[in-house]
Amino acid sequence: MKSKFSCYHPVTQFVYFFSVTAVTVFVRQPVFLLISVCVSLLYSYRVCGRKAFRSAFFYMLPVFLLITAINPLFNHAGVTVLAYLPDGNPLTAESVVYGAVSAFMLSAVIMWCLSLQVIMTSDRVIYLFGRAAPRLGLLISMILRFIPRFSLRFKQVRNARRCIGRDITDGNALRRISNAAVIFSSMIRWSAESSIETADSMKSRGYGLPHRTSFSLFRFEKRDFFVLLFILICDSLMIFGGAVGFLSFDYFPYISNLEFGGPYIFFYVIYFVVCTVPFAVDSVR
Amino acid sequence: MEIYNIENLNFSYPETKEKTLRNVSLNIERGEFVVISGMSGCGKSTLLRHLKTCLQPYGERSGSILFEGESLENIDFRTQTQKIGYVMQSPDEQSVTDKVWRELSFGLESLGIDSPTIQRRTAEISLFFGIEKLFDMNICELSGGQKQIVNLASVMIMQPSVLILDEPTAMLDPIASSEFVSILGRINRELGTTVIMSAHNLDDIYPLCSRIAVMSNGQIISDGTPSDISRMLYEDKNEMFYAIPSPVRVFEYADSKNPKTPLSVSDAAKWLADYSEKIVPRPLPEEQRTVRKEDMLLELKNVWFGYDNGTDNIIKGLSFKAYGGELLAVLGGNGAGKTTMLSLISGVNKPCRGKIEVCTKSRASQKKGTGASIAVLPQDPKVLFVRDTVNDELYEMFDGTKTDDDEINKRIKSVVDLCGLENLGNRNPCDLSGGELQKAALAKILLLDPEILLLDEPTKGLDAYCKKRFAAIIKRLTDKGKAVVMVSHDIEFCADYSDRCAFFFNGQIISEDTPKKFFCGNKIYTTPCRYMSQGIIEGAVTENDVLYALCIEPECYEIDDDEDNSKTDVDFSLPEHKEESPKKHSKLLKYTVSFFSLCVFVVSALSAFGAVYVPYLSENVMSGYVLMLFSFLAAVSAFGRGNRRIKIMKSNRPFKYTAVSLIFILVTVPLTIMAGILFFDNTKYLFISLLIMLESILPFYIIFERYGMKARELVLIASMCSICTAGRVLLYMLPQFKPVTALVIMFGASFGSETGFLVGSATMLISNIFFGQGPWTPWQMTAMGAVGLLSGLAFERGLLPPNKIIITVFGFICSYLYGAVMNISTLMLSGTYVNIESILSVCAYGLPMDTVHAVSTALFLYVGAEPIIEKIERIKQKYGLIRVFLKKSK
Repeated sequence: MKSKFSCYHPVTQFVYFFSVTAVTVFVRQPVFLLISVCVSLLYSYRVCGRKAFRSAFFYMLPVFLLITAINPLFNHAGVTVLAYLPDGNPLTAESVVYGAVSAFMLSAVIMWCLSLQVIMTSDRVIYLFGRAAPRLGLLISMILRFIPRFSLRFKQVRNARRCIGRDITDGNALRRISNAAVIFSSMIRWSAESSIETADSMKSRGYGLPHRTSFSLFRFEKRDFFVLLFILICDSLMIFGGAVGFLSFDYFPYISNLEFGGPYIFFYVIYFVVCTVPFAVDSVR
Repeated sequence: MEIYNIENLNFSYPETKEKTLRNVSLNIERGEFVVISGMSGCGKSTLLRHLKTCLQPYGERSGSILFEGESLENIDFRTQTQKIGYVMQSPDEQSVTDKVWRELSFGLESLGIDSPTIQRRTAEISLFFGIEKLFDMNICELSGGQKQIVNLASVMIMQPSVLILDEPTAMLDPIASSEFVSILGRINRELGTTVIMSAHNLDDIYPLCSRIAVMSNGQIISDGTPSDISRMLYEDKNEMFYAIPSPVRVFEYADSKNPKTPLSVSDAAKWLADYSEKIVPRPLPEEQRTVRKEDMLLELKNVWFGYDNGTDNIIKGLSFKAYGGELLAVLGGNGAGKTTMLSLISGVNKPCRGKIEVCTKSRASQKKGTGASIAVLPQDPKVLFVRDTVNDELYEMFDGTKTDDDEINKRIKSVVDLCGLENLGNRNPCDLSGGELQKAALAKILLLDPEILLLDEPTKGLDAYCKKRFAAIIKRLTDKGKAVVMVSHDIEFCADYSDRCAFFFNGQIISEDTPKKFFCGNKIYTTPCRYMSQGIIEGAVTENDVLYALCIEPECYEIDDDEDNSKTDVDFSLPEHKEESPKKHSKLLKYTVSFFSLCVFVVSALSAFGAVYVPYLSENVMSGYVLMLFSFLAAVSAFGRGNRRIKIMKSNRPFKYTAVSLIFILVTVPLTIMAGILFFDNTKYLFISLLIMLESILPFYIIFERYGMKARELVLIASMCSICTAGRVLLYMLPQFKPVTALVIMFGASFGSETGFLVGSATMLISNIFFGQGPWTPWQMTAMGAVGLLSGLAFERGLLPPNKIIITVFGFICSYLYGAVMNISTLMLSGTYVNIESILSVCAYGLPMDTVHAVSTALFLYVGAEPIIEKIERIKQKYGLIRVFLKKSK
């Protein structure tokens, strides 16, 4: 399903994703993590659809298990000893929990990236890079222009080679690789050749003149302003909370208690509200 | 007022004796629509390129060019950019960005115009050109005609006072071409822009332009209004006469005293109606060409095909037969599926339903690969060429087959004679003109000794002269009993030369007949001569038919068949294989040393991992590692010795930028690590590793951003990144079996460390747009960038000898390093405890995949490094990329 948030200004979107992932990564507190995991799951399911979601899940599973396993195997800090490993080192409850928390954190980040991928279209990526580094923005745009052209050319060359029996799928393994090398070298020659006209066309349209401006179709509207302002206010509150110490949580040597006092609840709510901004945006009207 | 004033312009390219332009003088008034015409290679493009300083070719030049009364060289780049619009030939190659709107705004952005103005101008221009619907689209989704219109619009948006176009319609189909030309007419009439255009085919522009200048051999041979020009060319018996629309040619043959030249087909029809009152046309003889019914070679029976498993059908119940000894022309609109049809016949795609029967005699006896009964000439013949000379191209067809040399030479000799390639043997396929390319490509596929030949739009972009020659070659083939199936837009060519025409529409053949009956049956989709003579001369389709009916013998100035035979014949012979066999004893030494060091390596490795006990090594682990490293290096360098060095030219780009970035990295990264240990107690791995990556990526991108890069280098980097990305996307054989790392290494080795870094990191960034960005993107960027950087330092800077073996080993190690970085990134990201054991265990987890990656990279480098790097080196030399260096922008 299409999210209304995907029409917002790239800067707003970027700040949103940056804020939610930064908290996930740097604040390793179970409640925040729980919020992050839940919302990121919901949101990525919503914007990516079931299929993409499923494939991401199966890709993630082994990494998840690996991380969960590695930490207790090699990290022997912590006071609650559960058992002793064959090499004589202790297996502690703290490191098991920490491993699980790390794995959840990584999956939350991957989930956020999954929805980021859908929402941040190439146009928006170019816009963001183009603001900071116009030439890099142009480079990305050019690469995106060339890729479909090259893919088409690649197919044409392959078809032509197949018709004379020299495709990547003809012959034995070594022959195949050398066929692939021939195809790539012809692609390289062709691209060098065609880059001459592209470069001429750029020069002819004034590439290289100083004071280049950067035009984009994105407009920073009022709604962007309000959402951005809201996220930034929440962010600064979170930073303040972090500085004061409301967000800190220790796993070693022993796991701290989860706090549910007034100020703690306040920060949980704030993070929850920031995370659910896209849902709020979607439900308006 | 004169807009251009060219006087006595002479020009010659470096290293050529002949002048490309000779005493060209031309005055162009404001508001004119001037067409510069001539056969390919007459110097049209060279002349047009002189009209804008930034496009002027290098070479010796004399004479003066005034633009609006001022010498062109004295007009600054900004003014020229704005006032002189230049559109080139290829619709694809001149568009720079991915989106239509970005392409439109490119010029204005360069001029530094503010956003509101750009917005208004893009809106205006899209309305004028009728491309509002395309505004948000990707350029790659557009058709060729639309692309060219967008290219025109993105030049016109700067509101130039003169518009220069270099064969803008050569790559377009007839319908797109006439649409494009009519837009040019509007620009000239409504906006008052001066238009200067070159073209070798005058069909569409003839009624629109106000003046034609005809060039030949670098000189302007005639210059005047369209009607003057047709008269002059007729009287001079110039070969360019064939470029003029056929109704006008008929008029000149018949009524050359009449001053009122008909410019359009309807005028020509009126003239013919008047003329035929004076001279009663005689009836045409019966058509001699008949459909041959014997010797059928190819039959399609109710073939259906669609991509996506046949849901969206392109070919819908196609049936036809092709006979030996005839040229079957399949005509039809754009995107009707004609090329798909050819791909089905050639076996590239398989039909979903129906049957394709190939009934050639040799079918059973021939095996796949060495010779097929079907050969295809692709639309762009260049896709067939992979070598550096035409000669090599022909011999390439016999690579890996067991044909003996005499047989090879005999067969090559015969196709060379057939296609008239005598003078082209030593030429580079890239430097050939359209007609020559077509001939060379035809020769190459004819070496397969096919009985059925499929041609995909063979006349596209050819001038009248080349078409005639091409038709002659095809005639020779059909006389030998081959079946030729041609897909084409070119109605007149089909009417003149084909034996049978078929009308392809909506995935099937609607009608087929001999050309005369075919084009007489069509009312609208038919030749200009048929339009003109409808109702006056019955059954006239071609120019010759009309002339016959009017009892006129056209004076044939047949173009002589042997084209510039003055040049010395190039001997087509087998390229000599020069193989320097190293001396026997050194070979023996090489293998002994490498075998010995390999043994040492294996033993030390085993002892380092504790598998065997070796007295001294097992006690001193460090020395074990050192011995391992040294023995490995010794083995590699011993084995690599005597291998041919690949010549890599160093760029004269100053090394200082790379040096500064390297020093920056070498200083800041250890500092960051120290700070991490001191202040964060070595726990904030993620934060520190992100910082380190930023520190290693930033210097290169800052250099890229700050110091101006020439357009050519920027395009080259972009195309290298796209090749790598395309390699990652397209060559999907096994999950990790991709040539990306190998390509990055080769580019780095050839173009140097900075470019290597940029290509590596940008490739990862962009390809993740397709594969999915993740938290690992920055790691991938840094790691792949580092691979490119290292390769540049190693080979371009000459730290390692660039030969096949060394590069292969280098690639093998680099892919493992890349894998290690990526594995460690998982650890860093999750924030789990980092120590040697955990690092080793994640690396062990990734080992199978990394091994596949390393082996594939090594294999690809072993096979491809030499040919590909040598090719890149030749390209560097040829296109002067070696001279590219960073220039500080103001």
